[in-house]
Amino acid sequence: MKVLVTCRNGMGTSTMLTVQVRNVASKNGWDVDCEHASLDAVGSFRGDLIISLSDVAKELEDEGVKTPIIGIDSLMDSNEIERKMTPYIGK
Amino acid sequence: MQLLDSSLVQLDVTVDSWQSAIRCAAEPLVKNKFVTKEYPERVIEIAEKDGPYIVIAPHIALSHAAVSDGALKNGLGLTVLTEPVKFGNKVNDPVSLVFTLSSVGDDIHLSQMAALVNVLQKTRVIEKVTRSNDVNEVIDLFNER
Repeated sequence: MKVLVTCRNGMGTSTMLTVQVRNVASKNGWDVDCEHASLDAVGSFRGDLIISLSDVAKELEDEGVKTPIIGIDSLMDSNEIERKMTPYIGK
Repeated sequence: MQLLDSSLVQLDVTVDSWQSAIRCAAEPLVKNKFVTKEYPERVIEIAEKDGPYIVIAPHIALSHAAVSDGALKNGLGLTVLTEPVKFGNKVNDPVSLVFTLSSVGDDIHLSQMAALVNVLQKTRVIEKVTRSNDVNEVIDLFNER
């Protein structure tokens, strides 16, 4: 599964969130190809899932982005990330 | 790995707003030329326009912006607030720990960010940091492997 982790400038938040997504994927044995980038990359992203913090996720949904989007409230909460990703795994 | 440098750590800082928290937390990085003095002002501007994007987890803010906003070299600072302040993030307020991140490369510090995530996930680490009044003790919490 191809995942884009995004935040406004593609540096701090998305880097940390990428670490978490990779940890969760590896723990569960999920085949996840995860890249991180700024919001500029969303338009050209051709993958399965976009993950960001909740405020950005809502913004992307409001903009009508077609790719499924998950919003994460707490970057430190692996359980939240796992719970929200699970429905998309194996699709 | 050295995650935090003692010159960038401040404990027991009192602020009256989230804006002043960001400014105070950036001071050591400005002084040591990790960021320009405009950098914290840019973080505030972006947060005022787009919402509190810097609150990344309960009680934790990661104050950061882009190279074009005044990041000069890679560095991470930590400021612990005496009294937590609200940043306007419904889920994760109030904030006690303000990290200021300056990042100038692409994947340069993926390993550093991974280390930070690992530390912050440790049981009660936020409580330990908040209660500590010893910079070296805080540094040890972050730099131990």
